[in-house]
Amino acid sequence: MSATQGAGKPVQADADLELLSAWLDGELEPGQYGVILDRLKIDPALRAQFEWFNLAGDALRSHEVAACHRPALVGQVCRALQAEPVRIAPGAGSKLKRHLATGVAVAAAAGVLAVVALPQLRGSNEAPGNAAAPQVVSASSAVAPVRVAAKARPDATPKLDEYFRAHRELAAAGVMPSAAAYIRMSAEPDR
Amino acid sequence: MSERDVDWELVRRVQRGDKHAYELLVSKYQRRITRLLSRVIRDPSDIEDVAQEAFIKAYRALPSFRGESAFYTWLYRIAINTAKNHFAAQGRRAATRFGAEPEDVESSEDGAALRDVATPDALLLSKQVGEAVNRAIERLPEDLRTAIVLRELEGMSYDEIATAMNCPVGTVRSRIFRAREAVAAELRPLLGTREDQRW
Repeated sequence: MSATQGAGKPVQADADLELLSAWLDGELEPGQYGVILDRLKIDPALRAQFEWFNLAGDALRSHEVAACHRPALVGQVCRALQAEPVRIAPGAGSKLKRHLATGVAVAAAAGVLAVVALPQLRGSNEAPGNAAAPQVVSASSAVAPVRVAAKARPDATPKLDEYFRAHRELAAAGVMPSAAAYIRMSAEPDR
Repeated sequence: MSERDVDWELVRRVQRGDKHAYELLVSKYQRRITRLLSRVIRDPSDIEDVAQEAFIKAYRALPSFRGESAFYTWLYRIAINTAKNHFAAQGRRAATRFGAEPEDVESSEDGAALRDVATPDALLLSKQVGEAVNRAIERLPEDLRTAIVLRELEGMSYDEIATAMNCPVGTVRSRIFRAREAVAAELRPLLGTREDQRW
């Protein structure tokens, strides 16, 4: 039994149409869903059959619903959709993209921390190029960069002690916006 | 997986930027939405305009759809609000009161409510569709008829139908497919158009 009626169009294999029918009922393995959806996107005959199977189901359940068949309406909506911008839900991207975005964000935060904060914590007598080791450590632990940096320098200087004292006071008061100023003050007490 | 999962999969595709997936949802639900609107809007061209507007509104709102309800339930409410806005713009009230849920409208399948606003043409077509479906069902071999009725009218899963009919699930799948083909073949002369007209 062949479903495709139009002359000159490829004849749909019954196996394909049976898969489509089962997919409409939600009776395919999830792995096969993508295959059917991708085929529907490029195969007009399969898509026409999608419409007929749905119409048959509607007609079996309600003659009135089937009698409201308006083929032109679908075409009108499809044309109107062309003018619509693509709508993407927040967080609807692929897992890979989300992981990449997270990784880039963490790396960027760690980079900023390493370039801006750590050299100042070390004091003005240390060249920026020497900050490589702490940068790596803080990059892997961006959530608590200050603590990790402290661990990386067990011989903490009085300057750093001062920083920690100031940080504890601020953390208790919850005044994060001015923390950068204290970092700078702690790292460069002479200025 | 269920039919609702199929819709959800399509919705998720749309939410990732796939407009084609939305066209499938439009194709699937255009008759139910048109029928809903035809209960309250007399002018057929108005029905199509409001239906189109409802589908486009739904597309725009789809990024915020989280799947807490079935897609059709969500779409139904958008269609109702669009129809209400249509009447408000015309300074009129809806001819028939809308139900809050799709079931309120769709539970009365005897056509009593529809006859309030349906045109003679629509009533005739509905009658012809009913006759075509009955012809198709009567001509089906009994095993195909049982399988399609259990699926479409009773909403049973393939596993449940296989148990009820004492046959493998693969056989159920094949029977339902062949029954659908037969019903569709009976409907084509009545409702068919050139395939390329639609897509």
